[in-house]
Amino acid sequence: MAHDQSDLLQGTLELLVLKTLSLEPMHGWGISQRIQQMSRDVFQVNQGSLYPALQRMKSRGWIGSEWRTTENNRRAKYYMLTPAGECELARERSQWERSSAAVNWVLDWAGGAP
Amino acid sequence: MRWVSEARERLRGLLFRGREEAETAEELRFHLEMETERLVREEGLERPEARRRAGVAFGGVERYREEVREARGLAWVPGLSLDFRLGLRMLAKHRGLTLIGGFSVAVAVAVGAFAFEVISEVLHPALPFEGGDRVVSLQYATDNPGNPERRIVHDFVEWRDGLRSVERLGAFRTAEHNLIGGEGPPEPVGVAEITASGFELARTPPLLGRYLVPDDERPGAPPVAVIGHEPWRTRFAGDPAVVGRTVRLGADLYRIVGVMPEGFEFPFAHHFWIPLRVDPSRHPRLAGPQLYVFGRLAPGVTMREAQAEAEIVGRRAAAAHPETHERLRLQVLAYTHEHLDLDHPVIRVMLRFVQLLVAGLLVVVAVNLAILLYARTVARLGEIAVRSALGASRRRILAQLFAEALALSALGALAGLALVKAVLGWVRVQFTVVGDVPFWIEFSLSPATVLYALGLAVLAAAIMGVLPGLKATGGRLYASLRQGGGAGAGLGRVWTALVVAQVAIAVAILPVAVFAVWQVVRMESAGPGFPAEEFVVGGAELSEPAAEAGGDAADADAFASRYRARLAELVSRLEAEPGVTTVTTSSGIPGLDGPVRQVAFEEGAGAPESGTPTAGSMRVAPGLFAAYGAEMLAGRPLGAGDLGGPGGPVVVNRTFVEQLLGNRPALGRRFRYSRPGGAEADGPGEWYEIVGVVEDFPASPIALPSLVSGAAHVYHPLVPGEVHPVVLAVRFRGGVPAGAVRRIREIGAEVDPVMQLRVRPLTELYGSLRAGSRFAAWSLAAVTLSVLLLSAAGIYALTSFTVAQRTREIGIRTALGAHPRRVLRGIFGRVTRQLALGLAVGSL
Repeated sequence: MAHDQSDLLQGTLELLVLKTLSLEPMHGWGISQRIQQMSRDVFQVNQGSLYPALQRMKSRGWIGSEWRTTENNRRAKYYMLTPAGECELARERSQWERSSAAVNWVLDWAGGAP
Repeated sequence: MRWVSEARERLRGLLFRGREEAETAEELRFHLEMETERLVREEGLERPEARRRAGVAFGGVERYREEVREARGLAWVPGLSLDFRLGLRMLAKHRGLTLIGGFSVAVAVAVGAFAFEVISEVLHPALPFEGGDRVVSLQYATDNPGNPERRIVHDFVEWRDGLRSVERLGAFRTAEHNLIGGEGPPEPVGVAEITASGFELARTPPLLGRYLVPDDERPGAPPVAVIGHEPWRTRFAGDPAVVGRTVRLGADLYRIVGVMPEGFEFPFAHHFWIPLRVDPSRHPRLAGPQLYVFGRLAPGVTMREAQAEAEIVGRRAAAAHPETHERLRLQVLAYTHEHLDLDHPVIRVMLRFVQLLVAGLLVVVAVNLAILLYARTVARLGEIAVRSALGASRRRILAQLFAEALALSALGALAGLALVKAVLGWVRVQFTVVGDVPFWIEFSLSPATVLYALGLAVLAAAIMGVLPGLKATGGRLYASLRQGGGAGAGLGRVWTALVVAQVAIAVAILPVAVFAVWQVVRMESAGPGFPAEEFVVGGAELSEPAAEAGGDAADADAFASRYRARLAELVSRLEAEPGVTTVTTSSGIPGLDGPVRQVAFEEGAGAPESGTPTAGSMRVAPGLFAAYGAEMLAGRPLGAGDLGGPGGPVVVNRTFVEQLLGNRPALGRRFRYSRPGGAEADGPGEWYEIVGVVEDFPASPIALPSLVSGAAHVYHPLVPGEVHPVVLAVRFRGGVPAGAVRRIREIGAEVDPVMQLRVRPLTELYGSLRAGSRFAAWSLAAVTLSVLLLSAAGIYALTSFTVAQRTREIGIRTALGAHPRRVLRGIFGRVTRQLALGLAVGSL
């Protein structure tokens, strides 16, 4: 059973969603499954909170939405990345790398001159 | 840009709320189903169990739905509509407040919207054809502002050939001619003698036939005319074969070559166009017909560039012809400004100021209502506190109060708009009768005005709702929660000052309004003292055939004798008509026109009390007094022997004797006018002797202007033919019969086709004169009434509010044995002081 752990910061959730959608358009449930899968079960997205996040990102123009039919012939709302979203993905990714690198430097600090 | 897509999303969320909600529900349902199936598939659970687990994993569905709504950004809007409806319900509950408040807002919005509409029509008109905003006028400004030099035949031709920044230069002048043709009696109409370029400038294709072309302006070309839509409909019954028919304008015959479409009245308010033949060789410089010159800015040329070129050309002309053109400056103006004399910056500033003032009225009304609503808001402090505790932000609460206030102000604004619409319709009818309105002015509610009115409503709601709300949701909120609401929220100094100011305004306006209404009522109820319904009055004018004014003395004499003959024939023929009791002439309409002149009595003939004595003077035919049924009080009326006789006999009216002679005996007194003026042919030194005193007729002033000027009159004998145009008065027995005007005009045309009779029933004339003053008085009354009502309501609210607040205090004081009067004095002292202060300020 997957652990329900690691509070996902809101910003990180958006980054993960953007990354997921950069691979292919997906509906909400698919996104939550994919994130869980790609993070090797470390992140199990609190499923409900995904939707306000999706709406926010849609308001900001990073993703678009479209109703399509799934393989099982069901109607679902698919989200896809917009060009603006791609820029945002790149931006947030570099920001993430910068901050995580900084955190690592602090944690690896063994003393010595700055 | 991020905010663009954000805004679009929010708007979409607002507009398609229902659909968005349904979509969200479906999306979440899909998610739960997929999760359920996955659990069934991967963990082998039973369906109900899987469903439950999916729900748990998801979290609270409702909660996330709300969050999605909030993320959409306009979550509070649906709440707003609820508040609006709540506001409407409260309006129904507090009917008194609703009536007073609604009425005041309606009046304020009506006044504001009306002023806005009129002012924007006047200041920013757009000529309703293509390129209309680039049409300009050219004129020679003189040292006398408002009186440009118009005898510019030579200059016009020079400009047409020389000016490069203005194209399609044309000129026109208006001549009044009798229209004879088609159905209906001959009637005087304004005809535009215009160059063909005017039509090219307006770029409006004719409805039938063609419009004027430059070929028609050649000397010797056959006379042609173009008629407008209205006369085509009324006089030619919309005949599709009207082209080719002839029509007579004055003494000349014209062939109709075209009909213009509806609404085309260029250059001013014209319905008939004939070619203007411009021939500089016939006149010296600065002589000849008076012309209005127009044109259009050439493509790419700005007004400034055109004005610069005009200045250069003007100076060149001044250098070439110094004796005539020295004092003239050539100007280029926007077309509409020339005709409405709007280039004066003072007028524009004044108009804007009026607009500001009118908006200020709304602010006053709104502030008032704020005071009224404040009392209600304070009573609801408890409710507000609870809402705040439940999570409503301050902004949310203010939005709620705003929505409730908006209910009231929107209602008032709608009523106000309906009022404005009605008033504009009435104004339009009034002006169409007069017929002098430029074609580009429309008296209808433009969308801009509606938006302005709604904007005023929003402003009012903001003041009414938010201001008290700000005060109520300030730091007091928790204090009131603890104390159980109501206590401690008093009215500060600002509110007091507002109340005082308002009372002052009401007191100041009141006497003026009462006076105006009283005068109007008096005017309407008092009759003219003679049977006005039996009279048809109007001017009889002989227009000179297509020639210019400014002949020599011999021409003038010939004209006078011709006029005399025609007039005599007209009078005798009219008198022969059945039903006509008398026909008489005068230089003006009794009680209305007539130059007002200063009277100086002979030495020792008795000086009047005070001030410079003035009296209106008029020339009347012998027998006029009898025709009007005016009674002679002393002496004798003017007779045929007085015409041109010695001694300058005059008759004065009763008010003259009362005001200027202090009721002393008048017969035999002599006086003269201090300054020459008006239509009097006599020099300043001529002495006049009073030979009779007549009763005032009309017995009371007819319209507001004459209320202000004096009612003393002097009547001189009228020599036939001396005054042109003369005012004809035809009295019918028992009232004006239907078709009388038509018959009179027909007779006039038979006597001479060039004779224009602009006659109408006297009662109609009185009605139109009064309409203006009536309108002004009633508007003033409505505004004053609303201000008064509001002041009263405001004071009442203040008082009741104060009392409600201090009920406990009153109870304690009374229980402790205070005299009731002392308690009352304590409470009302403040209010009374405010009232007194307001009254004092207002009376100044």
